[in-house]
This record gives sequence, structure tokens and C-alpha cells, in this order.
Amino acid sequence: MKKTLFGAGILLTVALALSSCRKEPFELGTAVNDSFHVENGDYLIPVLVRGNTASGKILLYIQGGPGYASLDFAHIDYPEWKNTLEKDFAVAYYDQRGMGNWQGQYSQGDNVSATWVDDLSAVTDFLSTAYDADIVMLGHSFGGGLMYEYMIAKGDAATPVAFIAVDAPVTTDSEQDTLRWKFRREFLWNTAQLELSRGRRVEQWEEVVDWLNAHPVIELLPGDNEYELMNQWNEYVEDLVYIDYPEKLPTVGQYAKVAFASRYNPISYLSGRYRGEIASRILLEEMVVPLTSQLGEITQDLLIVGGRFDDICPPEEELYVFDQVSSANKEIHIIDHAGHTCYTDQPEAFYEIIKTYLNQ
Amino acid sequence: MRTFILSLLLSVPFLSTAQQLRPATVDVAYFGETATHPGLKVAATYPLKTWTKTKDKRGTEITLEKRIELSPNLGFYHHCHFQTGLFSIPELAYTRLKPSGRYLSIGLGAGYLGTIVPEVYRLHGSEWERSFTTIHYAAASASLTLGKDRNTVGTGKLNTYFKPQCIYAFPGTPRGVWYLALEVGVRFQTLGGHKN
Repeated sequence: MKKTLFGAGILLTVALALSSCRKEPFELGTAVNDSFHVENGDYLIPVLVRGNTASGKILLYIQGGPGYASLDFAHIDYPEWKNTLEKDFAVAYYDQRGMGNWQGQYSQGDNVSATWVDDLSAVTDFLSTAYDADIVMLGHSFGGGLMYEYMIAKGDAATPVAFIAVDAPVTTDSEQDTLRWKFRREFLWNTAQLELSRGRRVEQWEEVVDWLNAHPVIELLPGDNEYELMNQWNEYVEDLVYIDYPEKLPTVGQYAKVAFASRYNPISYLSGRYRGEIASRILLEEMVVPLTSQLGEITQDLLIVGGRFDDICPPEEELYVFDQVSSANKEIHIIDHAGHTCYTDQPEAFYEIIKTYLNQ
Repeated sequence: MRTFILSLLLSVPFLSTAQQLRPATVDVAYFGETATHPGLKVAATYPLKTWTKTKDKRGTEITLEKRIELSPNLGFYHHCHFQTGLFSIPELAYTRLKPSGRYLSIGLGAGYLGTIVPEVYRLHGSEWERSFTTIHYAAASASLTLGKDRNTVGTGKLNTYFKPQCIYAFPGTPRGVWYLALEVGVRFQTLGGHKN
């Protein structure tokens, strides 16, 4: 009995000692893999910095969704940046509040988006200080919208030296419904012309063109079937666009990696009715935040990247954003043969655009 | 931390060397949070009530031993980059032992879980500083144990067991935090204790 307890005590001591071993924090290197938490009020923001911090540039990735776990995204290397962007620069990933990491008690505040912008600001400032690096934000989809909110809120006081919006829609507020469907109609029209010029699915695309000619505006209809035009648009996109550019699905091995080797407790994430509640709150908040009317307040350096076949954030909408922002230094690239995750659809083209931009 | 100390103090009498409080068995187990994040757990078992039931199975009379047991325990796990958990979740279990030495237990526990969050930093002006961060939870557990006496014929002093369990730690956001854990261990019979 005494021997057993003694042995257990030795094991406990050794394990605790091993768990506390670590190199000096935030040392620069060409292949770092740093995990830590940034304290922001009542929340501990989990952060992973991976890649080449010696480059002096850190891309801060802002996850889309809302509601996806960014650390898992990095853990399984979903975007496949380990052998591209992370060789040239460092990429920082962080979990948005409550979306993955589940420790202790914290509040989402009265306005979730504002709280998340504050977290984003805390991570940005910390990375800049700890690594003495230039920070470049890279927001995908919803993450791009959150990045725009940060840019508007911070103005000239923003820490990053540049911003990259990838497939990032702005017409999420209800008053912009008309504008959103204007972009979507233009998207379908332009896609039809492109596909017809390439001789792909000619018969179906000619039907789309006829339908678009018959409906110059996509809007709600009076009567029982008020969403008829929107539903028809969705059907065409599902059948003719999305099938070629579906979202990349993680493999069984990647799911297992998340379940058994995740950097947090995946049980909380999987039982995450809470995540759904927060995502719904954010989407409701977005419906009353007129982001489109504030785009002119954006003055920072901005690169917009989109997929030509992105039905969630059509390139027509990205061109609108490009025209609206006041940035003196702005660029836009629309990648052909790419959908809403242009970085997985055309990884080489995406990598070249980002690399060239960051090396300017 | 006060809750943890209180749990330990509550557990200490059971682990004392007083002859009448000597545990019937002592468990030493690998404790894996989500199975793969390693830890260690030590528990002592005190039978509160023991009775037998004889029943006829295909013409053969078999005697089942049944017990209500109390198991104070102490353990930890280390989940790299996430947290190190220290816990004491005393468990009340109902055990059913077959003559073959196989047994099954269903247990419910209540106690304390404290977590140490690694690598926490805060920005203080233009400097960063490290912060030692711990989070304290009350914890409830439910478990199922499948065990087998490995030495029934001989001295009867050792068996092995497999124990999946879930733990609910609270308060947390939004209400609490769920954990799944797997315990695989050996159970030692102490001198004067029962068979398993």
C-alpha cells in the first residue's frame, strides 16, 4: 500500500514537472509552434502562432462561420498553409470567444460582435508586442466582416500594417437585401456568360439566361410563394455552380485528430448548443449593423481576394466593397475556378497573391 | 483552492492508517481525459453494505455478491496547451460481482476539479507579463466500471478494470463543462479487505 502510494506520488511529480517545461516564450524562429492564451478581461483567448516569426510578419487569421474552431482549422492544416504561407511568414490562429475553447466563466457582453472586435484587438496588440512583428489581418468570410468592423472601429489607431479580406460579404444587414440580391443576380448573369463562353453546360446556362432576362430584379413576390425567385436562384447555384466548388470536407483521420488530440476539450465543442446561440446572436446583430454604409470610413491598406464562383460572397459584391472603401492603397484579385474557400480551391494562386502582397 | 483543500480534508480520514478505516481495496489507474490526455488516479474503496443473492441459472446455482461502496480519490490529467486538471471526486458505487471474478459497477460522484491553464499572458502597457491562472469547479461524475479478478484462484489480491466516465464541471460558460474520461487501472486488495 505504502509502495503504491509512493509510486503514484513519484509519477504525479514527474508528470507535473514535465508539463511545466518550456523554452523561453516568443523566441523568433523559422518554424515556431507557440501555443498560449491572451487574457482579455474575463476571457482567456487561445492563440497558436506557427511558422516563420523571424520574417517579422505575422498573418492573423480571423475565422469565418461564425462558430468554427480556428485552432482545429490550424491543427488539421485545413487551409494547407503549413508548407506555403507558414514557410514565408508566421500565421496566428485564435479561437473566437466560446467557439472551441471552453474554460471558466466569461461573458459575451451586450453586443457579441463588439466583444469579438475587442478580443481581436487584444490578440493583435499582444502579437505585435510579444514578437515585435508587423501584423497583417486576414479575415475569411464572416471573419472578413469582423475585420472590417475592427478597421472602422479603430481607424488610424489600428495596429496591423495591412488587411486582407477573403471571400468576405458585407451585405448581411436586412436593409441591404435589395443590394444583396442585385449582386447575386449579377453574379449568376456573369457566371452564365463565362460558362457559355467556355462551352460548359450550355443548355442549362441558356435556361438561366432566359430566366434572368424574364426577371430583371430578384425580390420577394406577393402571395403564398414570396421566396420563389430566391429559391430558383439557389437552385441554379446549387446545380450549376456549387457542384464544382464545394467546401472541402475534412477526412475521417482529421476528425479523429480533432477528437483525440485537439488543443481543447472537444466534448464541449460538439455539445455546443451554446455556439449556435452565439452565432444566431451575431447574425441578428449583423442585420442591424449597416456595414455597407460605413465602408467609406475604411482607410487602411486593403487587399481583397475572392473566388470567381463564390456564391456566398460574389465577386460583384467584392468589387462594390473595393469601390466603396477610402483606402489609398487597395488591391483586388478575383481567382478563377474558385468558390467560397478560394484558398483550398486554388491554393497556389492564393499563395502567390498573398506572398506578393506581403513582400511589397 | 479552498474547495480543493476541503475535499482533501474530507478524503484524508478514509486514507488514514487507523485499522478500522483501512480501505478494502486501493486503485491505481491511468486516467485519460478524452482517453488520450494522460493522467493518474488513485482511489481507495470502502464497502458500506455487502450482501449476496443466489439464483438458479440453467440448473446451476450461482451466488452474486453485491456491494455499495464509497471511493474517495485523487487524480490529475495533463492536456497539452489546454489545461492540467487536479481533482478529487469521491464516488458512491453499486457493484455486482460474479463468481467468475468479473464485476460491474455503476458510480456517481461529487467533488472538486481545479484546472491550471498554461501559458497565460496579459499586456501591461507596452510590456507583456505572465499570469498564473487557475479555475475552480465543483464536479459531478457518472461512471461504469467493468473489472475482472486476475488472481481469483491464488491469493486474490489483484484485478484490472476499465472505467469510462463523464464529468460535469460547473460553474462555467454557459452553465458548465463536460468531460469524457477513460480510466484503466489495477485494483489491489489490502490485507483484511474483500476480494476486489
